[in-house]
Amino acid sequence: MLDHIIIGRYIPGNSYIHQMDPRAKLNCIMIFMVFIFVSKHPAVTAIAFVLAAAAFILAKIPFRFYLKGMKVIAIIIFFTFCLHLFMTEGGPVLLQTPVTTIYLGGLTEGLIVALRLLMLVTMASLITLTTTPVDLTDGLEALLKPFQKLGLPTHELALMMSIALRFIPTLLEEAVKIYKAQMARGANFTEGSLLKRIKAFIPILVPLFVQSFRRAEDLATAMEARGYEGGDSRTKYRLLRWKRRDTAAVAVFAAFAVLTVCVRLFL
Amino acid sequence: MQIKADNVTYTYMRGTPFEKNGLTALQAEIPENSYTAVIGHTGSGKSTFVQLLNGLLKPTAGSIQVGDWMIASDTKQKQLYDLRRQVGMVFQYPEHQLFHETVIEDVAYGPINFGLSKKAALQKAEEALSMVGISERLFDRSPFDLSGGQMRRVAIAGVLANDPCLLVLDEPTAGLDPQGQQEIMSLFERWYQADDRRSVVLVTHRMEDAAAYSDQIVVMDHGTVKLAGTPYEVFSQQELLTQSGLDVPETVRLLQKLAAASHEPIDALKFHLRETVDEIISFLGKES
Repeated sequence: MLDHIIIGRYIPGNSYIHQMDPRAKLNCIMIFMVFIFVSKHPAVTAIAFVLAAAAFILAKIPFRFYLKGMKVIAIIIFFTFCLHLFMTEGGPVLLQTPVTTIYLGGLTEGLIVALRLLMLVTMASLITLTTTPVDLTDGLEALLKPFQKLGLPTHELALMMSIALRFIPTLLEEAVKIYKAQMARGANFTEGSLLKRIKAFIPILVPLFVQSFRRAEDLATAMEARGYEGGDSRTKYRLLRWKRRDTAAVAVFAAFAVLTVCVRLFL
Repeated sequence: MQIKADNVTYTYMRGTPFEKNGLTALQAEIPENSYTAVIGHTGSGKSTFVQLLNGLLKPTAGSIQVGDWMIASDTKQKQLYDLRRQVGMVFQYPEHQLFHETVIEDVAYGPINFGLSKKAALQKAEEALSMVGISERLFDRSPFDLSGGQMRRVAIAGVLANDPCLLVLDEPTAGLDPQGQQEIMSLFERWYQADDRRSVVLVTHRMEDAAAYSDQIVVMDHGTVKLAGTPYEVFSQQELLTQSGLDVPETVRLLQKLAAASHEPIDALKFHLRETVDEIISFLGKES
């Protein structure tokens, strides 16, 4: 049932992207996400597409697995495409029917927006697909460090995130177990009115919440029993190492950022 | 119910990089009205196998017959609904499935799902609760206020209330103290004996439970059946059991040690506690 969710899942590997420093990956993604919105010029979208495709190929994620995971997102993207296609006016008329008129402007606008969405989702998934949760939180904590001076509890935030990520698979497993147990007792999740179907999930949600609270309490006790304390005095066992490949990747994305700004200003 | 698995393969997470085989070309036959123990090491596929018995999992390839039902990869969920009424399933830590506000309503959840009226379902729930030994004053309490052992009994009552023909038990005594384990196991034994159309499939890694209660044993290893037969046949194949990471029951081990130490001809294959005691008494008689 939940086999094909790719968001938040890590696939072990040894690719170029896998070996990158998580800080570099986060930086690249942030640059990409911000500057892709700077210009709507087709050339910018095309270059962004090449960057995203290159990152995807370098990450060596099995293509079929990726496609299956994208199924749900594809619906959203398609919906957005249609909205832009029908709602945007401008340019020569491509198709005229009594119900609606489609303009060339609508088509290009729809395509660009759909492509952008696709690239954003792909890049965001690439991060979790190629980075272990531990590395990801370490990277995030390091990037948030400057904000600590402003009173942001960076360590606690990172810890919260790593605990949340750590327990996603556990909760999924638990949910599947309870789902099966209630199915064995004749629960029916696929028939009846919408209200009935929503009600059918109560026997899954209640035990799941009860279990989560119990687990959270156990974890808190275990951490306290071992004298856990966050903060500056805490040293790390795993150290992040910035390598040449990280500089190279960030440089490529920085160039992309400069390019989008130039296109915006001069074209 | 008779169970016949024909060349069953089950693959977890098919089509993803996490693909893993749970069962490979499994052949098994479990006779009608029997108490069958499925034993095997962790990861041998025993839990996967029993989840096929009521269609919670469908075979990736091959088919499995349970009573009048045939389950293959293309079987529709709808057809499995009736099967689930006939096959009750007690999972590991069954108390994790409790959710209702009161004990009695939680137990009645299954019967109501299977189409009984509320009144009839509550009737069934009361019967099942009294069978597992939950006293009437607890009926209207929240299941989350009960002790761990009581919660497990309530959860088991929730399965028994459906009146299944086949009861599948997946390590039902995990996490209980020895006395609690004994009580739960004899509860199932009583249920099995009460009607001769009932069958039990017990998944366990405790050889002692398999020896004490079952009349059929299926030994699983790496997703296939390694050995099957009566307890006598299975426990006489000690070498094969050891290869699968299993052992003979304590009772047999004790007699083997006695035989080795005394150099007397002792029949070590007496795995029921009473037989073991008899064997030791007759050995002591020889001594004096």
